[in-house]
Amino acid sequence: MTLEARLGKLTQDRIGWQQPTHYKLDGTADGDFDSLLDSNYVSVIDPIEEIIDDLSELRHPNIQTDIAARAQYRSRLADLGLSYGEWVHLPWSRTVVRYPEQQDHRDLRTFRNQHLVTAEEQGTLNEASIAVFGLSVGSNITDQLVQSGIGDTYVLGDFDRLSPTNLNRIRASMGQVGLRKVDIMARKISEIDPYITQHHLHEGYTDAANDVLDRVQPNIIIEEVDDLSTKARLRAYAAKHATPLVMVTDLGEKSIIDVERHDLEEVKPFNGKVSQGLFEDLIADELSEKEKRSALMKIAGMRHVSPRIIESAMDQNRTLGGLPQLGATAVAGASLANTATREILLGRKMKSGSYVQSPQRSLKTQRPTTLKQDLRTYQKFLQFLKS
Amino acid sequence: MNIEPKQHIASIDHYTGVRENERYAISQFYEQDNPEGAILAQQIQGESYVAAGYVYPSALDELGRLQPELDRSRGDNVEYYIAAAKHPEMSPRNMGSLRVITIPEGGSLEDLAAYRYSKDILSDEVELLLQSLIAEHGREGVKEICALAKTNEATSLVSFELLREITQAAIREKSEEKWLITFTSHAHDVFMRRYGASVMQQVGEPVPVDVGDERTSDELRLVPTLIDPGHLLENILHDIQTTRVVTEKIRLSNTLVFMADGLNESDIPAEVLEYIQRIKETKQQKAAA
Repeated sequence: MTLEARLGKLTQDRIGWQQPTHYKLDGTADGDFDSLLDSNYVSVIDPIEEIIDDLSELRHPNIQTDIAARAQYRSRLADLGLSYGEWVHLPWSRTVVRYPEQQDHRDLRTFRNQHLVTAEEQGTLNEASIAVFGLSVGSNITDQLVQSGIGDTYVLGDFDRLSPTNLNRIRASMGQVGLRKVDIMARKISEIDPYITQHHLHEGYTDAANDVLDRVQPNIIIEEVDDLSTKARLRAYAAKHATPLVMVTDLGEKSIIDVERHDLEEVKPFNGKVSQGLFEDLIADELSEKEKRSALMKIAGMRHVSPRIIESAMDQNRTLGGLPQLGATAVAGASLANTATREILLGRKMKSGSYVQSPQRSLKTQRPTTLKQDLRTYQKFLQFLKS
Repeated sequence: MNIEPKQHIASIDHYTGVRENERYAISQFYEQDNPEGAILAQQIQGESYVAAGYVYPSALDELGRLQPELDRSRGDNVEYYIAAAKHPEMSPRNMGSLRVITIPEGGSLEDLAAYRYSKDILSDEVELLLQSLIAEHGREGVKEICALAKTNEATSLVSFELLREITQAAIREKSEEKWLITFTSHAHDVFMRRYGASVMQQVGEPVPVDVGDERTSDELRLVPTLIDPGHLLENILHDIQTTRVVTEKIRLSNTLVFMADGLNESDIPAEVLEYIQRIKETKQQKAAA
């Protein structure tokens, strides 16, 4: 076999994501585990010392008075030997990692949320089901949600694969380029918490996706897709099933978050930014490019679109997905989505509406373009929208 | 009409910088903090507008101020500036004033009289620009400069010193605010000559105001203009570098030196500073020769 052929074969062998296998080394299925160790090249990661340290602090936080109790607890855990926790095989990384028991793991990884988020609140957040469509901006949101201990079931939808140009805003690596975005997110979720249930929609939001959504009945839909028709159809689904929907739009350094409380009220299409007629046209996907541009500007809020983004859009005649986006904004927007999601899940006040976060406004930074340039850009842009 | 200069402003003179050329002491205050000072500024405005023929004496109240319905720049969100003669040889009635209106908390562009006057004639791109400035920088993104006025004893120098004062404050603070000003046609021409077209962004055709009101001139037209004070020096320099008319180059150069006078070097853009230093060196060489 030539070197080229060998490289080609090895490239094809790359695993996107596979359901991790959990092993309990309590004597019942140890044989399977032995086979895994024998048949595959796997490395084993066993952070039991760190787990015991943190668990003993978690369960006996008062170190001054509970030194003996902590020591006893440590010794009890240590005595369990290999039978404590679950050994999880993560096929894509060829590793086997020992995780704490499910409840211990949830408690440990949300330990530092304590008091900011009460145990009762954390429990509610843990049990949520979340659907995320569009895993560019959506990957940052999912990252933060999972990390915050929100959700035990995720529906991930995206038809796209990671490209090198995504690396400025998706927390992924060159070694993951070419993989499906769903797989990259799925890997990360499994690595953070292999107990989370995942449903993957590799075609994005299609009619078939409705079956999965109907089954899972997500508590929240996060909508981060580029296609306007898909955006509209997801809203129609959310309205029909009284499911709150959250969308973050990155515009330069500005993040705009749209919260739509379909669970509480009748929400006008895109928070009233488009008419019912236009909404129906969007669902039917029968708009011309010009009409789509106009609709997009209505949804984004033209006044929030910076002259530099406008220049880019006109220069390249790009689609929304091709517009410039900053990684820092993607993270900032994700943090807004995280907060909104948490407040909705906890049943606290989170009204429908568009909310804007502008670092320029907070930090009083300098507008990088002059008045004259801005006027020229806006003039060209308005003509462009009409053309 | 009875203007008592300095009586209400001597104690609130706030300027502490050093300028080579400065003939006025400038005070800044809000009406609620200094109601007498506000009356004085309103009197200067009344005197100025009658003298210029914008309004007739019937437009003034017993104190010599515009009737409240004709003066749309009063309130808690209005900052007053008064310039009073600094030197003993100048008439104590040699004074000028202007006001800066900030959109109040929870307000909108509609709170700016200049916007209300001109919104119907603003082009879509100007409207979009104004909205984007508010979206990006909040209610302080667009301010209105108005009621630029002087007593009969003062020359237009007082207006330039007042504008220099607020421009330099914006430059020092690296402010991103933009100013919407509705100049009278005459004032617009004067300022256009002094500051150049890059500074004075005219954003609409002259608009008539208070038409049919017998107290005001039907000839009065206001020219909506946008100014970027934070980049004013660079914009003047740009016009100096692009004009081929020598007299214009000289006039703008004088304006540039005047507007930068009193700023720390660190506040002046490098290319502007370099240009000003070259002008000063040339003047010194000529003087020495």
